[in-house]
Amino acid sequence: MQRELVEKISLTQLFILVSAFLFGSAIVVGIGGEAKQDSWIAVIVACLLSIIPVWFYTFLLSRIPEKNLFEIMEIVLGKVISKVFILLYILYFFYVSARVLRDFGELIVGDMLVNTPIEVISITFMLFVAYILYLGLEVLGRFSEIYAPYLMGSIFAIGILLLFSRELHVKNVMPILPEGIGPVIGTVFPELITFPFGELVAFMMILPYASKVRYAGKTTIFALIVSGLILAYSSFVQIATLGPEAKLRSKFPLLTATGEISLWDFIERVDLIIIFVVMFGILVKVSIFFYGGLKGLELVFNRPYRAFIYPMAMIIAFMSIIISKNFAEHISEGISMVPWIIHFPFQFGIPLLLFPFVLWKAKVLKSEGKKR
Amino acid sequence: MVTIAFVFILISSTLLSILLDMHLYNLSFFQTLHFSLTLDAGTRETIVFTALITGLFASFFLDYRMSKKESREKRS
Repeated sequence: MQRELVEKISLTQLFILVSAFLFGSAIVVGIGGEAKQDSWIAVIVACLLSIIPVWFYTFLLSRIPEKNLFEIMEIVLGKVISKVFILLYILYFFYVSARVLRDFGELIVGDMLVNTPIEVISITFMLFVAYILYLGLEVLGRFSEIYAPYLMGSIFAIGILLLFSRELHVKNVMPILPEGIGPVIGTVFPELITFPFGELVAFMMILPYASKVRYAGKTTIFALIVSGLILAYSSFVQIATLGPEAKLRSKFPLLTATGEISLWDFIERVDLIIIFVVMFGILVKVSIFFYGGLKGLELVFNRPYRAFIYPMAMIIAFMSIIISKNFAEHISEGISMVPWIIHFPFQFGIPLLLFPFVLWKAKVLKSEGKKR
Repeated sequence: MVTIAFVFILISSTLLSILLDMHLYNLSFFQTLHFSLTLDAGTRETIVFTALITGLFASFFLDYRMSKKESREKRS
């Protein structure tokens, strides 16, 4: 007899998924560079401000319990209108998946497998993601549990190894806030608030599958704070090692910083460990966005989401290549347009639009329940 | 249904990418379409196009299998 594939994750797994999701491509491309030596402050500010939208997402989910964002849309807006919004979200989730995959592809072909076509990296990676999701969300959760200690451990180890290598120069971080709070605020809005923190909107598709739904919101917020602090630490290490100008110029600042590690002429080329760690973060991020999109397709086309996995995985691999001709275009699009045109409407616009309707529908459902 | 979803998602995500490129480069729709989807000589973009075609065939196959299963269930 075939075992039923389970769709439940524990709170620990949820915590790890949120953390890995936030590290994902944020660790690869480096965040908050525009705030120069204060980028670590910008990351902390953005993290603390992001508690508000994340709390809002969990509040929205708690009004109609055990339903994900798309199911709530269907209940609140009706079958026809909700389908339009769901299709838009599917596009958003797949598009962001493709962007994250491109980040990873560029990292791999730029620093590790220089003779391998980026297309091969994208396709192979998507086949791996497709296999994990085919086995279910629980497998993704368990996979994350195994790799999380390596992720956290490596990020902390980089700082310590750089310190021992005498490459960590605190003078690079000084002076603090030389131009006031302006550049920090300018970096937080819209860059940091939408990437990576606002992207947690994708977890509106995952939270209802937590084993203890009541605590899922608190766990997500706790994971957000912890990850924000670790990202700020990583940003601090990058600036202290490279300096603000070199960090801004570098394609992959953490990787460049790690390249500086050299201990006793023995511990060197630690950047390969970073690529391994980054791969895990990217895998979780792509999987969560991909899963969100697949659940949307399940609802719209009334077929199990597993049926869509392979064809959609190939579309994402294809999209990751055609979205931009080169890395410069990819980053330029990501900074100048994606936060405003793509992220803002889906992370804040539509959930806010949905808010009064959800409150009204929750009230109606509650009064109907009392009558019975 | 899988094929319909495949075609719909492929067209709309390509359109999204083209619209962003139009905005970025100040080009017309057809110029951007040509710029985005033309296979440049010497690149290995054909690999990803091939993968996309396998995705399309997979969706045909999945639809066929599901319709077969449905008709079998109806009969029994």
